[in-house]
Amino acid sequence: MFDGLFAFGHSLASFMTLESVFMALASSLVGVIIGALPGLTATMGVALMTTLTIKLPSNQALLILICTYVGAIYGGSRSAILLNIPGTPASAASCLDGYALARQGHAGRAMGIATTGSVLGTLIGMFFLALFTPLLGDVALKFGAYEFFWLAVFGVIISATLTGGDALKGWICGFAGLFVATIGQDGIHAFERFSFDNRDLAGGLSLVPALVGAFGFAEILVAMKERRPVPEINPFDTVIPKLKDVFQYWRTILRSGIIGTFIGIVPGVGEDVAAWSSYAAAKRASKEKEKFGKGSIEGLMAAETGDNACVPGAIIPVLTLQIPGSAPAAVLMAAMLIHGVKPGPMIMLESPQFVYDVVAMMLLATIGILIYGLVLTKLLVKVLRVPTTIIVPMIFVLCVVGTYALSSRLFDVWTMLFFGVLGYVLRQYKFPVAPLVLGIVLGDLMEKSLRRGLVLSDGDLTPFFTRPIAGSIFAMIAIVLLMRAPFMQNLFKRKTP
Amino acid sequence: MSIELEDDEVVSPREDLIAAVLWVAFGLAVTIGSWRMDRLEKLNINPYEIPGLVPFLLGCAMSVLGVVLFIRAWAQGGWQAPMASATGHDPSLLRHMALVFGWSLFYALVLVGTGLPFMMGTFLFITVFIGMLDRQRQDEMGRSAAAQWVRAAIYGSCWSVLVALSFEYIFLVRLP
Repeated sequence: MFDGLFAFGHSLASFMTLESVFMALASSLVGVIIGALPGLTATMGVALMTTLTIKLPSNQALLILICTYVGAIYGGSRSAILLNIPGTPASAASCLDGYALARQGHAGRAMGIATTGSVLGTLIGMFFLALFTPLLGDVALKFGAYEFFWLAVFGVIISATLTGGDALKGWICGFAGLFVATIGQDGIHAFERFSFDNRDLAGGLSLVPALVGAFGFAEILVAMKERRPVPEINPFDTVIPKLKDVFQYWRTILRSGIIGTFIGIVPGVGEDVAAWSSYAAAKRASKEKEKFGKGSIEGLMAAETGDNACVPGAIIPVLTLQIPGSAPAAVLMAAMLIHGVKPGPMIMLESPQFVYDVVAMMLLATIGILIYGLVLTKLLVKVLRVPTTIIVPMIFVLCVVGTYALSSRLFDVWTMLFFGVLGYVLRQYKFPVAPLVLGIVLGDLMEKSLRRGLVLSDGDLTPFFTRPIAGSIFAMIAIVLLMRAPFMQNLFKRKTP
Repeated sequence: MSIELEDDEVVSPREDLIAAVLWVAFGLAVTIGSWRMDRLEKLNINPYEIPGLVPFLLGCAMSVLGVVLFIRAWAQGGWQAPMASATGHDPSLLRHMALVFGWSLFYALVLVGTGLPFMMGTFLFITVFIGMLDRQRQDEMGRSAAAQWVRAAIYGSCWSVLVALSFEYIFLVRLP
């Protein structure tokens, strides 16, 4: 207990330099702006910042990325409240009551509630991050090839199932992503697969260009298709949060924080599901159910607490299992690997201090969003008025130069373009992109685990099902798949009165 | 995680049917490619370590799921259903998207990395992009064509200089 606190104090002290504080505040601001602009998501922000920080020392680069991530998830609430357009998908639930409050002339109060909820949500998530990572790290040490294989498959399946839309299409995309990860030399015998004698392709498709394409270029194309007019924003009241709101809804805050964190821990699900689940739970438990959707302070508080608590939650499986809890966390994990940080079951043995470094980075990001939430609202409103036609080409330049910067080769730019076009086409036909990307992230782990497992058992499949943890994960996959089967859905429909 | 949640456009079962055929074809291609892959027998490796094993299984999985999608789309009347894109797309939107798409690709494939200085290529890209695609908004504001292009050029020059200098001197990255 006290060891953890001392380690956290040590980490925090190491970031108390002018340079680190400046970087934290600047990148939180960048995150808030990216999150506030409709069409630009946290994943895109973190992916772009990964390319920009490639040459920085690892702790500074990861500080920037975590602050951008936290800032972007918070920033999405601005446009949700002021424009009824979620800046990021995570803020979609905030539109319901945030915009209703704004229409009643309480936009400032709504933004204050969003700030309070986001700050408290991140703090609750941080607490669980510090508490659970060592515990989950101990459990993760019991994981072998069989468990990691099923965990990777579970991540892809659950991401496709829970992120809305068509689960079947999501599963197809997830398996396609796992296949993309097999392109190039295989990890055991360095045999070239599906490279068609192309030297660049033989090295495999890099993850970050694929992410920048799927979440950057594709989002730019989607944003340009929508052609949103420049919004009119009405004047608003004070954004200073009221302590009364915190004390009155402390149960909602705590519940949403816990729900958000735990949804973050589930591989591949993410902030939007956390926000909606927290919102739904708050509505079920509320004494003022009728106010939900019509300007409920409790509803807005629940959604904002839930989505921000999900951020530290999504980092817990990254650190302990090397499996991302959300799409931005997948980019963050890629950035950790690029910077030589090895997340995974051994982290509490090899570099336990890093876990507390991440908690300290979260705290700096939280301070950043608190400051911007209180003092920079007018600037953010101005940013919201900048038309998409001006922002889009600037972002695209960053996508191109950022992917080139990774390893100074044009092949990465082509990869980014390919995944951008692919991501756009898939979205047009309602194939979710998140499982595809998660598949690319988890493909290597899945393949190595399967092949190792088969070699260890000499081709016997029973350990994949009979080992307690592997069997449990397989059972969860089977339940998720069965619940989506048409005959099971008919069964549930018939039983519902 | 999903940005798909907010989109409310409908996909026709016919489009799903076509997509299913493409996925099955892709899955089969992967399966066949993996089956024909060298099994490294001469290296005497463990048969469970052959390089084509995982792609083979993934190809099979994609093909099977593609067939399920096909059956579902067929059951929804996909054979006779019209294409959603044939009924609801605005031609001006298609032109707009073609311009965005074409100009972005031209920048990434031609203006960058083929000899033209990065700053010049970026200036051209941003100026032309804003000059052409922000025209409607500028017209509504009553700005003349010359004023619009000057404005676009200011954005282009500022951003190209800012990106070039920050990447070279702050992020220490070699530009294309």
